Amino acid sequence: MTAKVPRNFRLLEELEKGEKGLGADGCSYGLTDSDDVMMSKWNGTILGPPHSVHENRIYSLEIYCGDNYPDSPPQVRFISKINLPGVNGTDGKVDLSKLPRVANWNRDYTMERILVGLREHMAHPSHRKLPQPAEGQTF
Amino acid sequence: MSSSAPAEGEASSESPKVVKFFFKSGNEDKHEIELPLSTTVLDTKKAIAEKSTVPADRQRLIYSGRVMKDDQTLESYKVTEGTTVHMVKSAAKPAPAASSSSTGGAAAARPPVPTNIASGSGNNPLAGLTGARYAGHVQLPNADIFGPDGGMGPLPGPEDMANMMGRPETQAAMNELFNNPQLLEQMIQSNPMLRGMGDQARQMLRDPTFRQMITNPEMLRSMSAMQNMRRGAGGSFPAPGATDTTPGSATAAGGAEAAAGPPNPFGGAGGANPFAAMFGGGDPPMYLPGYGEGTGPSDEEILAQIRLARQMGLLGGAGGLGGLGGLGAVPPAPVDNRPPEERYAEQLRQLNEMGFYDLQRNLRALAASGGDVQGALENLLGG
Repeated sequence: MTAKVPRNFRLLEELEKGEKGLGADGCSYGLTDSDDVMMSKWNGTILGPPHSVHENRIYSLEIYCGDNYPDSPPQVRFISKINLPGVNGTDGKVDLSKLPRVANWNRDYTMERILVGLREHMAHPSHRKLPQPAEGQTF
Repeated sequence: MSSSAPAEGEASSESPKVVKFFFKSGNEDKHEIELPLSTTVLDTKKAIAEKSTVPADRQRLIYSGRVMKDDQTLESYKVTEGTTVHMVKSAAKPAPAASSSSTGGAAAARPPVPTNIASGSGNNPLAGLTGARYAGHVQLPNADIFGPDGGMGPLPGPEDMANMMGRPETQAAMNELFNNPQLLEQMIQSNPMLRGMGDQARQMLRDPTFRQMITNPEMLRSMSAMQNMRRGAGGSFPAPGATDTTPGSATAAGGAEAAAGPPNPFGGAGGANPFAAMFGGGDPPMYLPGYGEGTGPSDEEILAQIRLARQMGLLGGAGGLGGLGGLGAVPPAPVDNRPPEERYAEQLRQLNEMGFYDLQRNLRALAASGGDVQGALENLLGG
């Protein structure tokens, strides 16, 4: 039995990793407002995976970590318009259960894992050629 | 705000606060950079441009999950000591409104077409070759190599091909083609076999050894020698000691000039058959006609496709398929000896994602389908 890492320690860890750029390639994340003591609102970006229609595009997302994070997954929403299964076509909300990598949420999962999972999802052979709205549009 | 206050900390408030941070782009190393916090993002890009190869107007900077806007400052994005800013190179600006006027609104809905492909040519991977970019650069075949009758005669001999590939400008053009990821992607997409290979094909085409192999004149010579050997084994056998094309192809080239007319360069005309030379004058071997009509064409067609593909300086479309098939038969081609788990790592991952977790079954299915995920799926679902 290992001790559960409390919410805020976990978020601080993730914040440091995000700011130092230690995370996976192609993804970045950080607090929307660095004065937010609750560390609830986050921004994320995904650099479109190569060999796909997303190549050279940058997708912005917002992530909301509720009080129960990381026991419950955060809410994730695309700001940049994207056509991708699992992403609501009208408001950009991501249905995490559609992402193989995070479908069964586990408190060890991180925001980075979600972003990486989304990036893989975009690069999936059956998704990477989906027609996309012009770059720069937002939900 | 404290500039007028004669406080102890005056010195620090006068000299602008600097921040030392890193910038990182793709797979490159991190670079350290030190700038005043009041620096605008645009000026930051200019400073980064001096330390990297990317001009400021093609940089996009990302920090903490946000794309940085040019008119903001480092301070407003809370860039602090020791943090890392990601720099993403943006694609070259597309040619101004090249396709929008001609194709109308439909263009917007379609996935973007690589910018080096002219708008009218659809998905033709050869289109890039005809662009101005390659003008005078790549050796597009001139009339001479098609023979005196302007293309109706036989294809150029292996020697011509090899010589052409040996030219530095041809090799440079090949290299440039292979370095263009969009073109590679199209080649892979337009070819079912390559598509099935997925990432492997990508890696293979990027692999310098492979490129070297298909552009190496020596390799071409030995390949055509191989082809001739195979052909020999099919219908007859080469004369003792005649292991090479040299005597044969000389005759073939000579015969080529004579054999005007029939578009099939490998058809009947005895003079065009390189092996005719080996059997001397008044001693026509009886298997020769059989060879000409029977075993010949398929081999010959493949070879012809390889030649054509090479001739265009590119390995794409159907020619590419033939070329790869042909290469498979060449001993020096690197044989993929990796264990199947490694070789099919990408496909296995995909199968896993789709809910197939039985490694052994997945491997068997992939082996049966030659690494094609779709085929493996059918196998897994059917069996």
